[in-house]
Amino acid sequence: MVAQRLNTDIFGENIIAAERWTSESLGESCLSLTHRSGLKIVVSQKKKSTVSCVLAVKYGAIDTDIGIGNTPRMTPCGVAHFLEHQLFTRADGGDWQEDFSAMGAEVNAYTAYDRTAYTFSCTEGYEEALYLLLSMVLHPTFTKKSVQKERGIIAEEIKMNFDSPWERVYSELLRMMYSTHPVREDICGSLPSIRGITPELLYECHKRFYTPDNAVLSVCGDVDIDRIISICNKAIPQAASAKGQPPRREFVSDGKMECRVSQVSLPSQKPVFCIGIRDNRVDVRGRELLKRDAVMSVLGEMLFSRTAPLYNKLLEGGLISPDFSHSTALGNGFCFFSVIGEGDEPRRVYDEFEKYILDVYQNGLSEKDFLRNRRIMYADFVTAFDTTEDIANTMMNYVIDGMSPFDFIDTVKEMTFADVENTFFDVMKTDNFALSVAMPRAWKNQGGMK
Amino acid sequence: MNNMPIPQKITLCDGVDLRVITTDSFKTSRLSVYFILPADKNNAPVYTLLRGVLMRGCEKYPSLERLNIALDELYGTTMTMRNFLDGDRQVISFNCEMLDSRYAEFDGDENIDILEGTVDVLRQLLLFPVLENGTFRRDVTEMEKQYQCDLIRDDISDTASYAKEAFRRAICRGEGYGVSLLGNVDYVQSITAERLFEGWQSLIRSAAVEMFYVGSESSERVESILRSAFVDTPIFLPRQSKKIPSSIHIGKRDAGFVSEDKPVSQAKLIMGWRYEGETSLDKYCAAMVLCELLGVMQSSLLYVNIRERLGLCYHCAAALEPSKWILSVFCGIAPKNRRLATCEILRIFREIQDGTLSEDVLRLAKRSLENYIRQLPDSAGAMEGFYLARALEGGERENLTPDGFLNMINCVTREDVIASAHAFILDTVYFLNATEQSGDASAQ
Repeated sequence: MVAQRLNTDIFGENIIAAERWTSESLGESCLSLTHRSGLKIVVSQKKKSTVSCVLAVKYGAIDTDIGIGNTPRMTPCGVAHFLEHQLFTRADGGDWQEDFSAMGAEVNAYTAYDRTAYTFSCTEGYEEALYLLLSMVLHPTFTKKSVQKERGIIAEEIKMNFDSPWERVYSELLRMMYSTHPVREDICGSLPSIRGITPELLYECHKRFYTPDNAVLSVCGDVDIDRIISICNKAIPQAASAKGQPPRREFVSDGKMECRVSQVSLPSQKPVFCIGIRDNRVDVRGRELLKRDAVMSVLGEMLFSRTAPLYNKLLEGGLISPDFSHSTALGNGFCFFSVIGEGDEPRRVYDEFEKYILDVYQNGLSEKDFLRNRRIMYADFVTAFDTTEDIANTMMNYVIDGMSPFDFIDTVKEMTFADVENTFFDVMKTDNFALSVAMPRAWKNQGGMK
Repeated sequence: MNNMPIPQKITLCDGVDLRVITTDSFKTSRLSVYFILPADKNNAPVYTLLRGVLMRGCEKYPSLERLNIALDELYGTTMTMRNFLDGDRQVISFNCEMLDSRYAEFDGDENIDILEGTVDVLRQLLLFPVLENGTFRRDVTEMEKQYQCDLIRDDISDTASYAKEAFRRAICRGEGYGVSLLGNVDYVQSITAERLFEGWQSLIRSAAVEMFYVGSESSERVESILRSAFVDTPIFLPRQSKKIPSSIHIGKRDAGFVSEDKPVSQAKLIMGWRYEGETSLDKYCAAMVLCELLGVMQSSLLYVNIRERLGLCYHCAAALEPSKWILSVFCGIAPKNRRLATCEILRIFREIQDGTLSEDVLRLAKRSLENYIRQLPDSAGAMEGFYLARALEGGERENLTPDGFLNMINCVTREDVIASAHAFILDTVYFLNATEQSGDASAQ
């Protein structure tokens, strides 16, 4: 990756820093700008029909403590997600989606653990839609009536997730693995927690986190840089210059897992299980976090993917159905693997899992597997540069963490087999394992979990 | 739109067509093979089972592990087998997504040909399954049967999918589109390895085949790779090339109501209309616009009224099954709101029929469809989807280009949409009643 510092004069007085980032192997480059307000702007110009924009703020489901300094001030779970819904409500009670539709733009939004993103895609008139997006996100109106209405909609969203055994075992796993970290709560919150959300609270959280210097705007498509800067200048008030928001609460440790097995009884037909492996080393930040992410992902693929012996042994032994997957999640104060699947005997699956890890402990990981999976990781990253929507999202995801999107290629190339081996020995310890199971209610009289 | 790629159609043999879109817009490429058969209640579960058995391995890669490693060696090529109904047709597809060889340079692998490698894996998988005494392995067959039976019994893990399937079977009872892809437990248990082997032979020898490639390779090269891989194999045997039709009109019948209780928190309501009008291309475009404004576009009438005004649900949308012309509305609601939601959906539909539809709403719907069409060249998957739909539908829709489609959409008038709404007759209302009290109504 090559980073070239640019003279800001060509972008006008409101741009205080500018760089061009280029990846020759990928054949990609993008422009990174810092607006006077503190807003980070990243643009990839492409001759495509679609223009995609993402405006993201560093505020997500885990930011439940909005206190400053050492004084905690806890908010109910689900405020970030509620805010995401509410920002689409106009002052007159209407929905901003109608305005985007009128422009031919398709708007969407999502809340993650540590960020909330608002996106749109269109084939013409991106300038108008971008101005609307910035205005909508930065200048909201919340009323008792609109909050009450949204509560009903979010309640249905929560119930929709509640009916899925796959969602339930994952939620229960996080509750078990983290006793205090807010990652243990569902992103949408719960039916009781959303009852505590008021217009006043939404205003307070918005004021605290929805500031330009806590946000990233990422744009990809056939766009004009000067037009984008001029729209930002117009939509962001002069007064909103970078003021250095108080840092979000940083989490370092969650103590020991108090419980390692949980079981819920559901009206489902087949047991569903989720095995978690918690990584206790959560103090890594910045470029180190990027490396940790890459190493954990490659290790996860080596151990739990469909090419790994575990999956094939369990499947051929009839212990699981083909619906089996794994994922890695890491962020501010949390890091874990999860392996999810269904099978009649979750306890036996777990025993096989432990045996498998022990076997790898004794016989070691395969360097050949490492090289193959590292290469796949590279390919997956390249694939993220196929559509304007993926590019805009990928750029945002790196820039919001203070990095360039192309840093990842260097990180993958620099990653060694020893890095993965060390992480394996560091993390894959029985004390870090947890098992969450959803058993069919009808099996209650059949002796419980096997 | 002068940047809209048009596929080059190459007939490899009677009933086997290849469509190639050569573009360097992407860093990946796609290769897909679709086998198309009439949907039949006895054969459908067999083909569903076959899909699972084929994926368990082949002579060259005798286990799933070996097969997946072979794909991973090709920079993580993904191969997905899908099994779905398109009108009265069953479609079994093998969809491969791969890195374009131009970017395969990570470990000094400049010479790797990912497309050729992927076609070889596909060839092995389709034509050389692991056989035992001239038929499929019994242990693998039994294991997949067990899995399929588990899926049949599991009527609760994904209630949205379950409800849509139950609705489809109710509104198209007795028709191809109404068959169950999974079948019932007794029937699946009765499928032998020999019956499965017959199904495989019939799939590769007599099903109509559509192949698609989207990527940077020329059509000549793609054709040459496929010819080398499949020449002298059953895939290149000539077969019936006539399109499989889907029935549309069912005549007059009373609307039916189907309801089931399930111990879940959220109820699902699906309402379906059958079409009784003329089925020309312009009428099809009018039906598309009707569906778009009713419940597809962002500020659709359903979204604005059912979700935003009444706050009855998180998700409420409409869909048009293009081969059967079935219009449906789906929403997840609290059970107590069934009557209110039903009345409101009917009121919205009646208002369209009565002509209260505003020019503004019509303009938004057309613009939303236009946006979708203009975005097609930016997604390999979307382009393939667009042209696959044309190929499956056949008739006058087969040669419809995105430009042609856009022109026709722009010609749809308010009167056309109103007339289309009149041609849709309410046929089936399906309600999955939620009996679980885990939700806390006071949150609302």
